[in-house]
Amino acid sequence: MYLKYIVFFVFVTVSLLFNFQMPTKVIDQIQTITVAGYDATDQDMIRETVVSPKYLAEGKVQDFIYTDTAATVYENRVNLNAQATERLLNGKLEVAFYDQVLAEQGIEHFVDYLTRDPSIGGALYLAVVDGSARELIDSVKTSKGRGVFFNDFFDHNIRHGNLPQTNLKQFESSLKNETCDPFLPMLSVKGKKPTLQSIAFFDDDKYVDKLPIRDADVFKLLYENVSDESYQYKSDTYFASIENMESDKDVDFKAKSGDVIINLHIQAVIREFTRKEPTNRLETIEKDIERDIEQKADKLISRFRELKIDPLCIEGVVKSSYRDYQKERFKSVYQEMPIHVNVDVKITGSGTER
Amino acid sequence: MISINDKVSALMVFFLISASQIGVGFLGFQSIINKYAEHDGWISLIIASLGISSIIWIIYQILKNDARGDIVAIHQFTYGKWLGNFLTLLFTIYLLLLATVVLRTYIEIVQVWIFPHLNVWSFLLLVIPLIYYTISNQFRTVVGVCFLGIVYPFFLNLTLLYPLKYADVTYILPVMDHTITEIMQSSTLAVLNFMGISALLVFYPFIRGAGQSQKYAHYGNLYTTLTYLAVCLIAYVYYSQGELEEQIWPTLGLWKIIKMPFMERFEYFGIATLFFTILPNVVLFMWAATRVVHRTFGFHHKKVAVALLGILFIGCIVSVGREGVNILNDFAGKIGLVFLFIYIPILFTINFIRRKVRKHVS
Repeated sequence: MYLKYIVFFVFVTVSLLFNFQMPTKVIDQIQTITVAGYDATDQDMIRETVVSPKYLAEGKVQDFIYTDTAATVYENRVNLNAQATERLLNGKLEVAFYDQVLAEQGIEHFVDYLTRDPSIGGALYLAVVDGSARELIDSVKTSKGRGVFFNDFFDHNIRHGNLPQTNLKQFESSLKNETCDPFLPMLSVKGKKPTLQSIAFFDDDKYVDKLPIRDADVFKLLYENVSDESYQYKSDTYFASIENMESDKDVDFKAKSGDVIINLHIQAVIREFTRKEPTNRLETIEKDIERDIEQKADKLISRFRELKIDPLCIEGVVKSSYRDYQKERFKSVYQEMPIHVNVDVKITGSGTER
Repeated sequence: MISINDKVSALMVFFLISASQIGVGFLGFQSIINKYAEHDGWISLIIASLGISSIIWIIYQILKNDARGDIVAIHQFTYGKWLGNFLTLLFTIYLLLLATVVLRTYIEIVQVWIFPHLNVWSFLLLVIPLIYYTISNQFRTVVGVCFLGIVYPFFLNLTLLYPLKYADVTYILPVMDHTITEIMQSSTLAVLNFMGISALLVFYPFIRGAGQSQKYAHYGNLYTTLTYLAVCLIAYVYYSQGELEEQIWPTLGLWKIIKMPFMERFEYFGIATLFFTILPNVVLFMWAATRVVHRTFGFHHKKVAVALLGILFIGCIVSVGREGVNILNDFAGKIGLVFLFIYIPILFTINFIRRKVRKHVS
């Protein structure tokens, strides 16, 4: 009977002894990368800039920034490790930036290396930089560390701003989905500060066009259901601003006529109105805003069609509701198929005043 | 004869069946059944489950009519002593193969996600005493592990709600967009995730009132199916088809999106918990293999356990890398398909004829 316990003991001891030699990653002996930026340089090389925070006393963070140039990401990692005091690891990566030149060449390779690594999560933000990623990273002035800064920056813009939901997982999904084209936020340095400048649209994995962020509200409405948004209406006669906007989108494909119909239901309250007593004119305001959104949406969609891209996943809707769907046929009719946008705005309040 | 103290209640069949079915296949079956039926793969799952249900019925029909009611007795009765024992031996090898596949795949997952430098053999040295402890004594210990293997990881089902935020229903529409043949082809692949029921052929006599336990076996199968179906549908609306083809473990990939303030990566926690769904598999198959050898050749149960664990150890070490594990998985899948859907009905028929003839003679 004792033999059994002796054998058990030996097994467990030997196992622990041998696994004890496994390479470890002790938190004090590594540097976690929070932000990575990639710039194209001459001769097909990539310049990689990584940010690694060091936590000082009293909740203060000091960012270390390392930059080097190499042909591949992991070759770069060797160079960067040669500069760092501790080993650089990916586990805490929050944001990855690509400059416009790289985005034009296609970034599928970079996304692949991110999704292959089990230590990188799907909630990572990707973004394109108009200019150099290095400059953008340098331009940040913050006490909470650049990783947290950019994470919060994207987070609030997605929750309450004009930026639609985007992250590594969503980018990968649309990239590998044959019926959809991806998009990413685009940043630039404006007045020595990082600014969300526009939304970058991709054809497959190549950057083709951008839409200024102030006009992206219509795109966001067409792309997803929003829960806390605002919309600015401007015309020659008056300005109006609606807040707390909630929307509900449904896309229909009528197989008989070949029409795509996008129905938008919007609920909001009015906050700013350049004339008096908006409650008496709610119906006109609603009508005006409806027409305004519809016009902008039509313009946006025809722009996508000119570029032969489909970030709104209209092909996905057609494919999922039409059994005789064929890829080639859709491609040939996409340019001129009728796509209608119907908007229904309901203003439910006007704040504390009439 | 098995004493009443060694037997377990009929309800435990529910846990035994589901615990033996939900194993490593659970982590990656979506991209496998995707092969032919694409976004209709989840229908294949239902068909596979119905097929398994009928196999459970057949197994019960075979076992009910035998006094000792396990595969050793059935084989000896049906084919005579020599051929019967030979086929039992093949069955043992099949059980060993299943145990090896499950354990080796789990180790691979640990290597990929958590410890890339983990030594396979030294990890096995940690696990093997645990397996020995469970299988060397009473069957009740095995049942206890199976029970915990269902109850303990149950909360992981809640984490499946998280990826729903990124779900896109258009990925699985239109429903039934593929031919029946394609869906059937995928269901032959889906069957691999239900294979564990073959252990039923061994533990049947350990159930109190075994004849009445059939409904619990079907409930167990139903529970497995519902769990699979939920995970499958969520993965199908979460991943686009292009993504699904490239994923090795879609279920684990669902956890990639979970980010909690106190936990950067959920996978570490999840994979550790999944050990409790893996252990019942290994333990049940190893116990069944040991029991069968013990019954056939009359060797001492504990000595057989030691010898078979030695084989398990070697089997796990020999298969190296993604390729090796893949070959092992495919091989086990093909054998399982032949065993369940061809051999079991044949056994049933021959057994039936044999019984009628015997009755006539006496």
